[in-house]
Amino acid sequence: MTNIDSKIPEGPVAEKWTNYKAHQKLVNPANKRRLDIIVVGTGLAGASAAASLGEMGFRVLNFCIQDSPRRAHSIAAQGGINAAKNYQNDGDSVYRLFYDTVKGGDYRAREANVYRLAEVSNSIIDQCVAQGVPFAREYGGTLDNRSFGGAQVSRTFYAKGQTGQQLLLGAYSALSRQVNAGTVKLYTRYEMEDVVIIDGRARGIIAKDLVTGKLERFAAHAVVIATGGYGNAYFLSTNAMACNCSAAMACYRKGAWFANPAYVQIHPTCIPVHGDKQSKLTLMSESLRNDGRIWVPKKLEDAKKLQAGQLQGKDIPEEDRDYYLERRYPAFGNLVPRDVASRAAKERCDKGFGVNNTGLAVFLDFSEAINRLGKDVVAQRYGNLFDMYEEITDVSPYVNPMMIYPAIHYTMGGIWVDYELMTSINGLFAIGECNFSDHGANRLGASALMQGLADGYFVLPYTIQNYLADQITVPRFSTDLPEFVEAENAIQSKIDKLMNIKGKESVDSIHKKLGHVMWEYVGMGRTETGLKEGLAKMKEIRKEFETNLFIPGDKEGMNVELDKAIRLYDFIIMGELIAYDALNRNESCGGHFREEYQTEEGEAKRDDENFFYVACWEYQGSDEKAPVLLKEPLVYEAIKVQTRNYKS
Amino acid sequence: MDKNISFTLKVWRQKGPKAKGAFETYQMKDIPGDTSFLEMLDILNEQLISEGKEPVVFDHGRTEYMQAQPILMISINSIRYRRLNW
Repeated sequence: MTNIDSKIPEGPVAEKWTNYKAHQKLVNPANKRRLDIIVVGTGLAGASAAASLGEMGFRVLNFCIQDSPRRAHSIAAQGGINAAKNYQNDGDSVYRLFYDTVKGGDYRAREANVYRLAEVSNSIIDQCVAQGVPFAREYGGTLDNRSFGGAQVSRTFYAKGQTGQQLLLGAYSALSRQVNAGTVKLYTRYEMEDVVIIDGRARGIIAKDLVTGKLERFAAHAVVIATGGYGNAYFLSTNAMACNCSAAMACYRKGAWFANPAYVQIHPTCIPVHGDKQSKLTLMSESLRNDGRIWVPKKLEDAKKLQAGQLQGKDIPEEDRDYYLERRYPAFGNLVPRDVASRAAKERCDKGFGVNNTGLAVFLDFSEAINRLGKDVVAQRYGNLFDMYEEITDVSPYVNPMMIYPAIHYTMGGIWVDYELMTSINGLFAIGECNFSDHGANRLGASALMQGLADGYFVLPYTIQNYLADQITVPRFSTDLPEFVEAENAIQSKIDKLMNIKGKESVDSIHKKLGHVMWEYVGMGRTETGLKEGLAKMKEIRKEFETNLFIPGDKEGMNVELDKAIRLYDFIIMGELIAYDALNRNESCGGHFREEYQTEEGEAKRDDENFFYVACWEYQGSDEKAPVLLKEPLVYEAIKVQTRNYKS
Repeated sequence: MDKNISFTLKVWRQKGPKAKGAFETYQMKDIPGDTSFLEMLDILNEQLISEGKEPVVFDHGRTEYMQAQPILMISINSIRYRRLNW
């Protein structure tokens, strides 16, 4: 039986991180420059980690698939970043942020990691302010806050509706300074295809130069992946088109356990799908739920008229509107956590109360806010979001209510990491969305930005030293070592095989099929029968991929279809992994809802007796074999596990 | 729902940094009016791939978000996410 050691330090939860830092091993400054670290990804986690490690004196090799680090998808995050500053004096504290995050995660997160997250949150704000990030400020100059889902305090710091962009630009500036100083070497338009293991430790990667098509070998003393989430396994998601899980999958295949893949977050407020040619979904920030009110018509005949285009939202009188979140959850109203809001929208639409032509949309209405605050104030808070909505749908939210519907947005599951953010492969670390640890079964709004920067600025720079402390006499590795040669040859064979299939289906057409199966069978409401059916369909899709895929062009030079094909194969394996995990977890919690396990009111029904653990999936050497489940039991010392209640 | 529109695309195609390159012309027929520009390029590429040809490569992603511009400006660094029926 594999023993899972999460390396949680001793002591009360509030002292664990302090104890760790006091007793960990360090690398002295002169030795740091003898050590190389590879960081894959330049989003909030990757850029902040690379910048911090470079500043500390390590030699960093930083990779991204985009043409510039600042095109990482973190740039699209809109709403804000949580921190326990309590500037509003409304009762916030490190403990409360910790508690809200654990509760929001439906009591499936690792307590110690979450406490640390809350503890360093304030430092993140200070760091970003020092970088010049233009956070919104009140009239007197102090930082402003707003509320986000799952909290009764106002603790979210923001920069208009583009917080992710501003934070990423801050990290990017820091990164650029290190690039200029020579501590970080940047490799743009490179995609990691595999991790190289030597004597049981991660010692490098094979990366594809996306412009020349050539595979290259890179060696280092440690490898960090910061490659984001796997939402694009559903094809339609709020992720950028290029976002993928291939780096994580490569690590999984080499022995890094994958934890809790079934916990996928469906964001309640996205612009609804308008047709089957659609390639991407657009997120409308959760911050809109501060002032917007979500509703559907009370009367079914009104809903039918809306669906037929015979009626508009603004024409339905107040008394005929069902503000269903306010009705069902009086204490939190429109600010219930995302999984609760998403399922509530699905419930109304399944009953026929959807408000657009597909019946899959609900209203997010600002008329009351405009009456109460005035159009100018609403424009100041949400102007750019309203403009974006109107640009995409040709409807002005100042006049008519927005239409929204849930969509795949974030993945709480990811590569398993211990307290030090190290995976089950020695010397391989995972940070940001691509790891699993801090959000449990559901992530609260404004905490992804918090986690990415916590990992990159304030956690990894400490914990990686503890690992590297006994590596200081290890010389730099040659990329001619047999392990590198073997890894590169394996990728080359894979590429050759893909190019030689020469079938008839494009990558996108197969990806769309996968997306339909995922949304239908592994989406918001899962069942045992559905999941088994979904798994079977995914295996058929995999067969179709292997026998009927067509990739135009050559393997030399730039070939975007080839790159997409490599990613798609990993999405198929990822989809199967999500389904395996969802099938195993016979309970509902957070972003994982099994219809067989719900309360009479339709809320998630957890089974803490049998499922109070992190599900770690171990690759069995072949894509044909089902993965094996290992369990990391959860231990809660500080918080009493309860049923999540947002009604009172 | 918005009506369909048809139009001509002239796209610069160049095999590599040192290759000669030229404009290629594509006729887009009956594209649904609420398709975004990037989705329209996806439709073009599906068509090209089904004909065994190489798809158009374009860069995309969220760059610094600016206030809406009235002109459709396309360059490799700032493809705007826009509806077509203007």
